[in-house]
Amino acid sequence: MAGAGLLSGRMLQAQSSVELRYLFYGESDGRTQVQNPNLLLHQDLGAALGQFDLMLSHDTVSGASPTGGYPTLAVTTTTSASGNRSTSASGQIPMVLYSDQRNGQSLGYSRRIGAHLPRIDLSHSVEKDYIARGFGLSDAWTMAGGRGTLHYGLSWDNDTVAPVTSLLRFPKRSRGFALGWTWILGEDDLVDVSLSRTKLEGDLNEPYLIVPVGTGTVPERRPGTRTRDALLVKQGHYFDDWDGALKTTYRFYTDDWGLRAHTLEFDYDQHLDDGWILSPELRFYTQNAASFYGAYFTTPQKFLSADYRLSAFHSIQVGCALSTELMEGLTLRLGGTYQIQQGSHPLTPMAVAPTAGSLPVFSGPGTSAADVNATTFSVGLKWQY
Amino acid sequence: MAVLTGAGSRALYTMTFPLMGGEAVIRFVEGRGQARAEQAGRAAVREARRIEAKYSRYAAQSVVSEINARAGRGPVPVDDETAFLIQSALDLGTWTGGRFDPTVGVLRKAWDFRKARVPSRGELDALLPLVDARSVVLCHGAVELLREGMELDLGGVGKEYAVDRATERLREAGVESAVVNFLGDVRTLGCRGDGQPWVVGVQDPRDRARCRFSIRVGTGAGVATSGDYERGFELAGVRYHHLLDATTGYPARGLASVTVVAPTAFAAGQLSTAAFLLGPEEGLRLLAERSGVEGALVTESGAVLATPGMARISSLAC
Repeated sequence: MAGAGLLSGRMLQAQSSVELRYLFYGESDGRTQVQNPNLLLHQDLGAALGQFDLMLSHDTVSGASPTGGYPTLAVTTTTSASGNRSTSASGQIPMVLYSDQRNGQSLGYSRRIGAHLPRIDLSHSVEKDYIARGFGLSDAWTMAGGRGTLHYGLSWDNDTVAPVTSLLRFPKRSRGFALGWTWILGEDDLVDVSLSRTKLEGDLNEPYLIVPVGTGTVPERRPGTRTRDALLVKQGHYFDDWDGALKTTYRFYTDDWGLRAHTLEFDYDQHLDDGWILSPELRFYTQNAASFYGAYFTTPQKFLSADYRLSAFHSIQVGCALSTELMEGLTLRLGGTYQIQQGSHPLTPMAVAPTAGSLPVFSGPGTSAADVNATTFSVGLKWQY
Repeated sequence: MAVLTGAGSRALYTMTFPLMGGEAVIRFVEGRGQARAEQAGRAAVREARRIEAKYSRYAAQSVVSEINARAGRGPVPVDDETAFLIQSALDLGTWTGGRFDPTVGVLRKAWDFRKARVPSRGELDALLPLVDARSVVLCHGAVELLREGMELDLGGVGKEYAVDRATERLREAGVESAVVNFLGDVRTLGCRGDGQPWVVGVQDPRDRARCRFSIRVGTGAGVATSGDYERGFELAGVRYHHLLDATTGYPARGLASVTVVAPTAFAAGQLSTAAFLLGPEEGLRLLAERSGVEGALVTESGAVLATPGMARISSLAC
């Protein structure tokens, strides 16, 4: 019995881990750059007390971001009082410089009760102009002798948007529901299908974005609600002969803003000699434009946005990670990705700005705010005890 | 470095880099290949960073930090370049009847524009004795701040100087056509690559997304803008900004922005600062009296006042 007790204790201890991660994300042409160190703690307190997860993260965001303004050939450069602002060059997408810091904390607790693994999650993050508060309840219900798991959950978010350009505070809430089924097929295959619906309401505008309308610009106006639906299908297969595992993921996304997106992703883990694991990945993404997206509007509309994230674009991402156990229980993981993204509808710069009595004249090579490439680099050190 | 367009062997090169807490952009036309272009661009960037490091009040090793650390404790030897910049800042104080003062930076101890708090009269009165250009002694290759606690700040002239010097580096490297923009202060070299004048948009002081008007700069000139809209805050309908009148300690009133076209960015920057601090009438008069200088002043109420020649080179219908 003493032996069984020791084994039990070791198995429980092996569940706990602490991980330090650093992620760098950088976009081309001096656009957004993010540095994100974070700490993850997973502590297993035993069958009676359950397990909890703690995550602390700090994001430093800086760089330039499209304003929503239309590229024009009319002005070569702009003179202004000195400040933290970008200048717009001829024919280029107008950008604004920005920087922010975000501190986030999340706490999760779960405890197995029979065939159920209920879980509660709390999250909180603060940045200069945004406060996010989240709460989630979920359960994983194991069935069919452990071969199938039904997982379902609810989430509530209650955020506050606090634009630095305004003294007002705007609420933003979301309620989410997810339902999924994981099925182990034979020795080497696993399939997971899940559906989720999230309903957002409140101030869903990006407070700093503008929209070119007629001879001027207006702040963007988005609907006050958004219902987002997603279908996720994952399939995992283990290749015995190669000692490698391939995970294929497809995600379909749609919302009532008219946006639809498809994501297809392949992740492969190959075990090498001496405990190294090589993990290449490949990801394709495409989306169409929201119904009220436009780069330029001749007349005002009820809803309008020139945010390129609501425009049609597609991307391809390749990546690779390498991990190894440095010593017993201590794992190092290094990874990087490169993404090429292209807008589906390049904008032709405005050669002559519109006046009260005339429409703008467009000329020159097309460009899109969605044309941006991104590189990530990550390093993680995980200690399991 | 990004190559935006190419026409035959000539291409338009753009370099963007962080400088003095903001963004610097150098664009130039080069027809001798990418290697020469990169060489020219790098020389300009090096020069800009040299000036930033030498005169930044935030860098502990800068000349300005050394002078400030010795305030009230004796003179500090300076080279000709530093002496020129300090003398220029003192001249600017003379033009404005003391409203500009190169030692006004000490008032930042009372004004914190990020906290949106207006300091009391008492707080400012306690600091104003340290704002005194007459206590900056520049002679025989040395400068001395006579009172302990005084702070020299060459930010009022250093940025435009860096624009001119970087442009000069491009010219020395054989570039004939360029536009250099450091945080909104501009210097052009030659004409645009297609022979047309460079077009410089002037930021609308009350709408960050728009240009209020544009200026055509033919054969090379400096364009600079001083405005109340970048560093400041609004409280009870009153705008408080960083362009402080050294005689009162409070922000200068009457104007929202001043844009000046002059032979160099340095001159344009000095004059735009001076005109802003002097207010609409005196400011316009100062610009009109200078030959080879044009300017436009946007008042707090949104009206535009301009020198007679401005209409010829801009989209303003004066």
